[in-house]
Amino acid sequence: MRLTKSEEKILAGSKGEIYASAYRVLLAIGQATEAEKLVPIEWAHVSGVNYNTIGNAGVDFLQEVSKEVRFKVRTTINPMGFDRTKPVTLSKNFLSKQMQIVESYRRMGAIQSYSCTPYEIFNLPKRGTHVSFAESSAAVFSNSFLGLRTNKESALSALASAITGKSPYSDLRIEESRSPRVAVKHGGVAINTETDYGLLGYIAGKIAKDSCIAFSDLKSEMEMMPAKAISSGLGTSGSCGMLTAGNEQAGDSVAIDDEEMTRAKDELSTDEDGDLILFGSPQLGLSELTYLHDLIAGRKFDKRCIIFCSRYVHDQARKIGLAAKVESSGAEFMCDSCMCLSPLITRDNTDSIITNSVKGAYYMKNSNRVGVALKDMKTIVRTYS
Amino acid sequence: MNKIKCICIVKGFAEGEALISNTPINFLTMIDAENGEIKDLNHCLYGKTLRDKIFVFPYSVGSSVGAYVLYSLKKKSAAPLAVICSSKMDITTASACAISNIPAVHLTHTSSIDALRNSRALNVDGEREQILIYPN
Repeated sequence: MRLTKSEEKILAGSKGEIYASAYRVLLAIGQATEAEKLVPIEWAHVSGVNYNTIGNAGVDFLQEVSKEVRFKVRTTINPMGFDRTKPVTLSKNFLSKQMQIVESYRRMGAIQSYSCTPYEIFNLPKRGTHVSFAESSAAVFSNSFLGLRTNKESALSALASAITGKSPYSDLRIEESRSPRVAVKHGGVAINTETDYGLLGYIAGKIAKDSCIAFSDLKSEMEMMPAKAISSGLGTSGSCGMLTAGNEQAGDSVAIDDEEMTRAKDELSTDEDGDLILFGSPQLGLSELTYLHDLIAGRKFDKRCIIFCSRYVHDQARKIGLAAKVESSGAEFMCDSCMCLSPLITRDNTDSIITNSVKGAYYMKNSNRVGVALKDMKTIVRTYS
Repeated sequence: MNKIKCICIVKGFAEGEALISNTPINFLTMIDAENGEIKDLNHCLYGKTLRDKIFVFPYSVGSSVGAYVLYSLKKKSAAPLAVICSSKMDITTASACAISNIPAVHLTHTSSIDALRNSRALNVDGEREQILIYPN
């Protein structure tokens, strides 16, 4: 990868060690993806905010970086560990470490978004704009449904882009790489619910070797809920950063059958039932809240139900009366945070959870180590209200 | 002693025993960030540690935060000596190794991974872009 003279200077340390490190990261990922040069990006979305995901090494690292760095482009950040407005039941240690992380990002100039769905909250740049999104589900969604251009960034590469305002021009940033070479065909397999879409994405992520994959048996128009579900499923299991839906031309195809769907579901859904209902991985948007409200209207959940969503979506839902209606079912909102690696749900306080999210199921099972009953939202409402 | 070519992503030099995963790695869910142990019960290397090994795997998948796991391992002196991606070098692995100064290379041919098996030790030379294989 070629760097300009001024980029070379910063790499050599003219602006200090932190900026040099940021360019070292860009150089490494540029070489890994065979980039020729760096290009400007307009927006970075950084992951690594929840203390459970980055640990003490991450806390110290961000503190050091924040002493020297101010973000160069609009930078939004992923969910943290808890809702800032609710009484905290977590350990003092978690609380203090989490607040150190929050303070580091604030000092660097991050927008305090605490959301894994920045594309539902902020004004969107025009199609074709280069952004740098960590948070796998947001990268896949933005490439696939919004025409934004990002590779499937890591927490550290998106941070380097936030610091420098640049990213290597490679892979999904280049038009030709955005045409899938392999198509997933699910043929007769019924893909109806958001959970089906999530599972389909999850299976495809394991298959895909390229950065873009086609789902040639899906309709090209997709509503928000299935689009978020398939994007997050794909991002959870693979390295693939983009999907196309519809009758896209692709050289090879891979068939997925019912047996494979069952196997994926059995892998993630360890339990028939659970103690706690969790919605919101990715965090719910207004469309999903409306759908949930339509299902639950006039009924009450007979188990505790937590809805993870961004504060922006929550506040908007509150204004239009939707939040209160949903709460009348007994469900509670948990803003600023997400179910993935949530410190609120541990083996000590929960045996198993019920969720409609494939991504949520994966992290609840593998990171939080609790049992999971994976069911779609409609079935959950019917069964537990 | 065999020698195979590789492409260097993060420069460096390391020699040690290989730990080879045939399947992609999700650093966040599969690796214990405290000690480098593979904690995924379903992984064929369950219970083994990355610490002081040359860690060979196809590429990393899933969480973008996995990069912090490798960085944490480095800070706790539990990191692999070097990583070799056998299929492709992904952004998570490359960025984590760049920040953590862990030498990182990828193979020029995926099938070269077979040559790394049954080795007593590997010598990864990022400068020369080659891997020396000490046979069993």
